[in-house]
Amino acid sequence: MTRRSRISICVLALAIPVFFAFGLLAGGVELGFADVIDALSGRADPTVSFIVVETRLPALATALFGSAALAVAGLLMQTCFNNPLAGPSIMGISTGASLGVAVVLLALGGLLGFWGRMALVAGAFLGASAVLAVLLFFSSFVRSADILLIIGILTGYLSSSAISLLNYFATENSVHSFVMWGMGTFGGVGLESLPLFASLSMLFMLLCIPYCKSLNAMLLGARYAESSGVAMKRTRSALLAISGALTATVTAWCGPIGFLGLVVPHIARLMCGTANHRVLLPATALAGAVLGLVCQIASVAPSLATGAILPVNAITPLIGVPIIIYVLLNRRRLVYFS
Amino acid sequence: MTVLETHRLDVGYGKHTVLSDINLTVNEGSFTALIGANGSGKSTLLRTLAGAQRPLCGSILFSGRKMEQLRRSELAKNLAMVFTDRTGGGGLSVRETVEIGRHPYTGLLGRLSEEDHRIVHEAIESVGMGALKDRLAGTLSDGERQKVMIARALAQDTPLIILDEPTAFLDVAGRIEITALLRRLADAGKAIVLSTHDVSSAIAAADNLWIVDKTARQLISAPRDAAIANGLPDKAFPGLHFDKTTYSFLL
Repeated sequence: MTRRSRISICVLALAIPVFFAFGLLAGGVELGFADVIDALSGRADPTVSFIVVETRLPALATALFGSAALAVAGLLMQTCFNNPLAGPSIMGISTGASLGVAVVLLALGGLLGFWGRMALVAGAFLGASAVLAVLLFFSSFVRSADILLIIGILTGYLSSSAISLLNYFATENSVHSFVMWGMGTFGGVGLESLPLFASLSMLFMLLCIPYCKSLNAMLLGARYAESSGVAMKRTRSALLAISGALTATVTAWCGPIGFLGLVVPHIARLMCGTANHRVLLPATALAGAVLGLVCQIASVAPSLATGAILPVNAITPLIGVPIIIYVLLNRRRLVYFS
Repeated sequence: MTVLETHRLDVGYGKHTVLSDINLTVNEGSFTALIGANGSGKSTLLRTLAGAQRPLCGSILFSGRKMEQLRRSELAKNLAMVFTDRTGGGGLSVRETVEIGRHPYTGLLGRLSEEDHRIVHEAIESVGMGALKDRLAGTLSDGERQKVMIARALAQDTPLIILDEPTAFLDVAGRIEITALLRRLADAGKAIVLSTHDVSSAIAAADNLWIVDKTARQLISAPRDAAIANGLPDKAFPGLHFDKTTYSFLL
């Protein structure tokens, strides 16, 4: 690992607790450092304790794990499809999850209790899995990564079309619930669901570690990877399945969060100066966590003055689009995809 | 020692046979040049030998073992390939790219042993890229990048390296340099099979010729000097005549 990579990973790792602590202070109710410490140690009054422990802490933890998971999913897809613009939202997997959620909301009429929430999670998983199954089916005989990418985009359009039809026939309540869910929020995972959400995100991210050496070989193209001993079909299917599981987990609980999966791997590459997945995988997860915390803070920060919380999907493009344009315009000079 | 044999091998797609009844032998320390016109089936043959497509019939043996008995990782210990493609991987350093050659030998996490590091170092040095080992591959010239891919094939530590048009993007100096490098590797004991349109320098460097006769859909294998003495190179490009003194094709 180069000095630049080491420093970048250290900076990202240190930034996480800093932003997390800052995030506990940020929100619609002004709290001091002492209030937060008291709430975390169980000495604060119930209102402050509720705000810190049951609202801000789970939202920040969800932002941390959810963004890291989406970022890793994006990295896997960019390498699998050898395309800097591949990502969970572009490949149609997020849209597939949205379709699953739309079906559940239409069926339940927009009223969500605990079991309704669980049905939402199941719907997102099934929707993402359906798109993934289409991608896996085509990847079993389509060798071109570009064609697979286009198939993913087209499948996303089909899902969007199905969602529009469902909304047309849905009740007003259902449409309202779906629109709210579709705005994306890290605040939807309560303290009781957080352990499950965090465990699933971590599990799927850890599953990527044994694939680092194959991912590096895949950077040279499918033919070189095969010649180096990588069983391409099996490996690509496994990597797509992992990235689908990561996306479905996050989308089920948080709604479709755009741009993070696309942009964070580029931030990690720019910071570390390498495409080596042994460095890039942890750097992408850490950068995703940091960016997720930043987005969550930016989402709730205006609420102190205005009382309104911004949807996360209103913030991610503000950070994501300039970086993507910079990467595309400097694609040759940055060399990571040449 | 024989590193590659084919017996009555037919290659092609579906029901379309491109080349039939191919019987080849490649020994260690030999340099074989594969020459033939565009569309004659050179790449189909090499893809079949590399396991990227199934033979229509016949058998392929690597060091005496049938190809279908070898797993992908075992095949990668017998045969390394170098392709024409301008590769991706611009964000990997020269050393990291060459380390990919150790893929079949490392465990689940891909951790390199001392021995792996030594082999990678030797591979980089043998293609003369030692001074650039920490440079990102994306900052190298086409010729330098192709040398890195040859070093990656060397790090794969296989008895046989097959190169499919490795010099297609290179200028004259780059082509001659790569061909000379391959000759040195053959002299050091590697079996080299080179498919190229740069026939003059390939024939000059080769011990054996594989000549694709597109009209007869056959592949003729012969030691270079015997092949030239019998006028076999003429079969590679119908309408052209091979000049024995300049090793080039003339109208």
